[in-house]
Amino acid sequence: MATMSGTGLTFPDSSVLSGIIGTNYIAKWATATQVTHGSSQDAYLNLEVVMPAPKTNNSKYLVMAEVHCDDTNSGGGGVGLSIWVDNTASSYWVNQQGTHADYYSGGADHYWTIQSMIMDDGNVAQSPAINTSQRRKYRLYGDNHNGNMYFCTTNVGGRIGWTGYLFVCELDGGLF
Amino acid sequence: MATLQSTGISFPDGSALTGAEHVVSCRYAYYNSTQGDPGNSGTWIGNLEVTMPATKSNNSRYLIFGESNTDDNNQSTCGAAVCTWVWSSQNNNSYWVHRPGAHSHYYNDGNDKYFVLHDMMIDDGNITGGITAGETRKYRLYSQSHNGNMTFQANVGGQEGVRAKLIVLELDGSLIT
Repeated sequence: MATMSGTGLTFPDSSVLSGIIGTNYIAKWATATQVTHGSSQDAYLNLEVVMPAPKTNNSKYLVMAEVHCDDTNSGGGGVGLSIWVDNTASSYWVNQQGTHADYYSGGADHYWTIQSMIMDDGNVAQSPAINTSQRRKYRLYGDNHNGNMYFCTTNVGGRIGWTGYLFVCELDGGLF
Repeated sequence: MATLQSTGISFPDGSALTGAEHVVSCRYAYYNSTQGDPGNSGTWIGNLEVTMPATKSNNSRYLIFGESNTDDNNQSTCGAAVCTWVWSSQNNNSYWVHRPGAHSHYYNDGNDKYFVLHDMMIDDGNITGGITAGETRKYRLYSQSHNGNMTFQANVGGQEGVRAKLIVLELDGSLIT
């Protein structure tokens, strides 16, 4: 039988609910439908997720993203995704794949579906420490190698729905 | 009002919470050093490994995300993949959770190429010896290549952070239908 104890609620399957799972553990995502021409590095892809203040300083953030890309002139082309965070004090790169993480040097027409993921623990790359007094805002940027890239492209036959997404989920520090 | 029942909590909207349904645990690891060609049958990416805590129940499932990047080093035909391996303390055996194949990502011409490779899946124990409460499961990320000309965790201009990643979450069995 489910029973209340000093530490929470114990269920018949022996699992224990020891805290509130609510807005502080929210998973959010944003989607893109616009074509963005990346003629320079660090092109903002209109993908932003603002998380509530973390529950504890031990929280970590699972960040995942995907973007569809097309080269505009069918020359050599290369792409990479960059995950950015703002903690109200400043902004930082959490991870940058690089300008030609996915790359093809030939002159044929190219398309890419590129993904990126990271567990932001407040210690990877430039990421600032996670602090309950600072909400975190995540954005997705695109790097390209040859100045010829459409990010979040709509130029794909048979496409329905988003052309890119950014997903962020705060995970309780006790899970690690 | 919400009421405590023998099976859990029932809510006014008719829903019920019958277990602490959540992510049970999470482990992750990163690796940044360059490695030479891994060959067809798979090479462990550095020391990229996570050891999960004791499995909560036989119904638990493991959600796995792996990523690395690679560059062909002689601008020839090339193919590559990253793949996921698991060791179970229950029977002291290791298994491939998923091996996409040495040319699951492939180009058959000689231009310069770079790939970002992923392996994402749920390990439900079906081909990995079953999932048993109390056991320890250890996951690793491996790489494969087709033409003997790939460099993994390659350097890329503008790169910052992590090149190879392995993230594993244990999901409560009640989350999986």
